[in-house]
Amino acid sequence: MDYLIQQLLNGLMLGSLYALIAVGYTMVYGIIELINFAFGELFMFGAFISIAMMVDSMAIFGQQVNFPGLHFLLAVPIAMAVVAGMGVAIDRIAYRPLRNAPRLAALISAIGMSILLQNVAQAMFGSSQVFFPDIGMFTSDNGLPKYITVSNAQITYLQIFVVAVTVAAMLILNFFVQRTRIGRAMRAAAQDKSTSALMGVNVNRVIAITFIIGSAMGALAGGMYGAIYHFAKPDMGFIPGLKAFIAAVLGGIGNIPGAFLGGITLGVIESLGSAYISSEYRDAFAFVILILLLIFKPSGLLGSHISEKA
Amino acid sequence: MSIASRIDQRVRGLGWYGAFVIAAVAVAMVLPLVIDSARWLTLLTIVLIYVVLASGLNIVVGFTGLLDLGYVAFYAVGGYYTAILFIQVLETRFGVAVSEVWWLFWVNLLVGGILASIAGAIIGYPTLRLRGDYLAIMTLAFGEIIRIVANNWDAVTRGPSGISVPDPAVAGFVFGDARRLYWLILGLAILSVFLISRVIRSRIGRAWTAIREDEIAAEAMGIHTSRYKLLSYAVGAFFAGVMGVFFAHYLNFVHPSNFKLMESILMVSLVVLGGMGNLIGPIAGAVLWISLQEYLRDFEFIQAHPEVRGIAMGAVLVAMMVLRPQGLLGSRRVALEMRPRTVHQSEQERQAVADVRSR
Amino acid sequence: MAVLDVTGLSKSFGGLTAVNDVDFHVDEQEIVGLIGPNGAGKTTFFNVITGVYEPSEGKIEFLGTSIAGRLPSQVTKLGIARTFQNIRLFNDMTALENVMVGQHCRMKTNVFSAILRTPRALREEEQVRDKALALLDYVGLKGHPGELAMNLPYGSQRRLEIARAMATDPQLLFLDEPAAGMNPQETEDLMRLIRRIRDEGMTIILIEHDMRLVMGISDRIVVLDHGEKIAEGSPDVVRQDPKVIEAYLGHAVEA
Ligand SMILES: Nc1ncnc2c1ncn2[C@@H]1O[C@H](COP(=O)(O)OP(=O)(O)OP(=O)(O)O)[C@@H](O)[C@H]1O
Ligand SMILES: [Mg+2]
Repeated sequence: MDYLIQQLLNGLMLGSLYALIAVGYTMVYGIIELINFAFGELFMFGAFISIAMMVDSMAIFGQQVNFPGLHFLLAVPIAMAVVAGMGVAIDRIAYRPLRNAPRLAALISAIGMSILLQNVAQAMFGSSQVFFPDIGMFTSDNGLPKYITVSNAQITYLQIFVVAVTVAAMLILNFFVQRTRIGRAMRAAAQDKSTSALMGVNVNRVIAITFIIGSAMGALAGGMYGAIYHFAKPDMGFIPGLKAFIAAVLGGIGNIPGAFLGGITLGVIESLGSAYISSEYRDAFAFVILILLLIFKPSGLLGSHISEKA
Repeated sequence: MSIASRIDQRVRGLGWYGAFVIAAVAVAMVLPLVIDSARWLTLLTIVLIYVVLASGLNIVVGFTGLLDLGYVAFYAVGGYYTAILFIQVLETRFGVAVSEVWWLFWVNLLVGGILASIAGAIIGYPTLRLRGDYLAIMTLAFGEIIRIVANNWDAVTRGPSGISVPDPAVAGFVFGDARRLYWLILGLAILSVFLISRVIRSRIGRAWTAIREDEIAAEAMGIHTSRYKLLSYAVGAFFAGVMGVFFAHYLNFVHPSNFKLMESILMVSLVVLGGMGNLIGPIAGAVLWISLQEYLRDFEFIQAHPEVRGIAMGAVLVAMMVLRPQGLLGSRRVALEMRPRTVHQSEQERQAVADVRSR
Repeated sequence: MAVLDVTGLSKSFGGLTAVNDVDFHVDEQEIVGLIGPNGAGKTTFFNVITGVYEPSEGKIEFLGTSIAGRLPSQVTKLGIARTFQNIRLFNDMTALENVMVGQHCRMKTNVFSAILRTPRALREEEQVRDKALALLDYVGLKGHPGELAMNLPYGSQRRLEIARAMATDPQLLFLDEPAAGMNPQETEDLMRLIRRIRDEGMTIILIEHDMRLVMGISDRIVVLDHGEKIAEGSPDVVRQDPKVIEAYLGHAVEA
């Protein structure tokens, strides 16, 4: 029973990360119908840039470079800002010229971007794991994580933090999309790009903002991933990126609360699956879910429309 | 009509393009007589493997317009099928000497292809009702699952230790050295490209291209688009399966690391580089890229920085899409009708019109 | 006998009923004009009959067979062909190839006969080619078989769509705004072409906003408004029908 609760908590934490990355996938797909594979890599850059901001010096392209050694709570927002800029740049370079091209072209460009970024990161940071410094806040003096005990299950402060930050980010995002002018423009553009352009919505700007939000959320997930697992690695983003996309599909692509629900569901299934079924096949669960989903309920849990329009 | 004049007609009908193809094939055939280094022959063999893989993938990506990001999985299906059958089943389980069942290699080329086709159709099936880009995700997922399974199902695949596989042979004549293997793959490559070109330049290739251009219009024109998409997945996967079988026996080894995601991406890059939806494009892409890659492999800088390959691959994919989506050879599109008859007698035309009217 | 017999056809998208309880029929070699203000549900009506959408309700019989809910490709194979309001040619294929694709469902070549180029496959391919050339000629595109569809002028693209549709060897032809974007001369030629196609045995249903064309060519006119059939009859009768005038004036569009 305790073990089960422990696994559920792990799943919740992991699922929060998926949910944050899934935001980018779901919003961008909702508006330009593109699977931006590069969100996985932006997540990875989020982790690396967080490290860079937290350490005093670190090797980049083989050269030692000095860094400010900031606190985690300052480092992550900076990483989010930088990565948001990267996201906009990626859109400008690789996707915007292809808005009116066949979907295949943009999709190939996206997978190219993902591979490119992953390998650029390898050139910058090397191919092995880079240590992610302990964030201090949730570690007691003896080096063990602080936790509270609820009916025999230990809940670490870090787990609470990750889930709380995710929920807060999701609520803010939902408010933004539902209540602000830009959010309304976004929803309009997701409904019908050309009509909203006629109605005076600056569609390119809306798309850029979508990339900013999606990338920043990915970077936030990257920073928290580092805090949990204490490393970053150039190829760390690809599989979580894919899983986040699956989470987005699971929730109903284009649907922001769906991304949250899908991420959490996927995280929990994965945790329980690897605990009770097989840990070797851990990465396979998400893919099996995807296959079942596409066969039985392609519109996802909260519904969307992904079949071809006539 | 005399045979001579028939041949004469055939040759004339070939044109520059056909003459070029024949010349290229002739050069490829005599090349090993000139080249003596096993290293170069190996390079050429690898190039030819990728020529077939890229040409097969081109059916799905280039002609049908659907992105397959797990092509390597079908390659793995072929490779593991033959390795498991030869070693795990026949040799280990039943104690059969592999040299006695040499013929099985040749059968397996076909069976491996068919198994891969079936896998391709099964993977593609759930995506038929959905937008095309879900195929990319499904194939990506399948590619990863195959690799994970190959890595962990020790009893069957021997997991990370891999399986050793014998050389191809014909009754004691072993295709063991680089030259014989080269000739073997050259034969397979010519056959594959020939088969692909025949299918592409037929009603079927036209249907695929129509689906790529406009799926709804294609359906409205009487093309059962789901069936033709499945056919495209299956035919595309077939060639990967065949190459998987060859590759296993060529390398004498199958191992999960041969079937990584980057391989699939590489294959897409080859198609994109040369030109999608163009028969020569993927061949040119494979020759260009794989030669360069294999040639650069020994350079110290490249060995110290393997990521250069990935950077180049990613940059090529993005740059080609943005700047030259038709690929390097893109201007040369494939005519999706068989060769036009030279003269059109007006009598024929009149009859055809009469046929239209006679409904 | 009616070529097409539609009873109580409805199609709704979520809350919106685009086609509402429409009865409709066409007889052999008839030209029926389908008109109505923008958004009246004309294209949706076409789409439901040709299988793009499943009907929400109603019966569709084509030559005595029910075709409701069948795939577009099956409907086409049974003998209904169409063009699209927003031209949907295979842009990166030649005019000739476009028309050859139209004959796809009348061909028998499979993967194996294509590989072997059996005499039958060769013969079939040749016949299909010849017929395609003849059809291009028929619609007035004789000079351009090798031109990519996207490089053809607008009027020619519309004609190419008609040739492609006819290549499927239909008994019933649906034309969705074939004259849209054409100049008066082209429209004139188009009218002649449509009449000729009918005179040679085809049955035609035609959506058109160009009233001169549709009134001039149709044997009978059906008017849709808000998804409902509001009038039906000869051009002269329909022209004077107060409900029709009201529908058009109410929308303040053309007439
Ligand atoms: N796939 C769809 N989903 C939702 N609504 C649709 C869909 N297709 C059509 N509609 C709606 O159905 C109504 C009828 O549209 P339709 O295109 O049939 O009109 P139309 O008579 O062809 O108009 P026009 O003369 O402008 O072509 C419109 O309100 C349209 O917005
Ligand atoms: Mg319409």
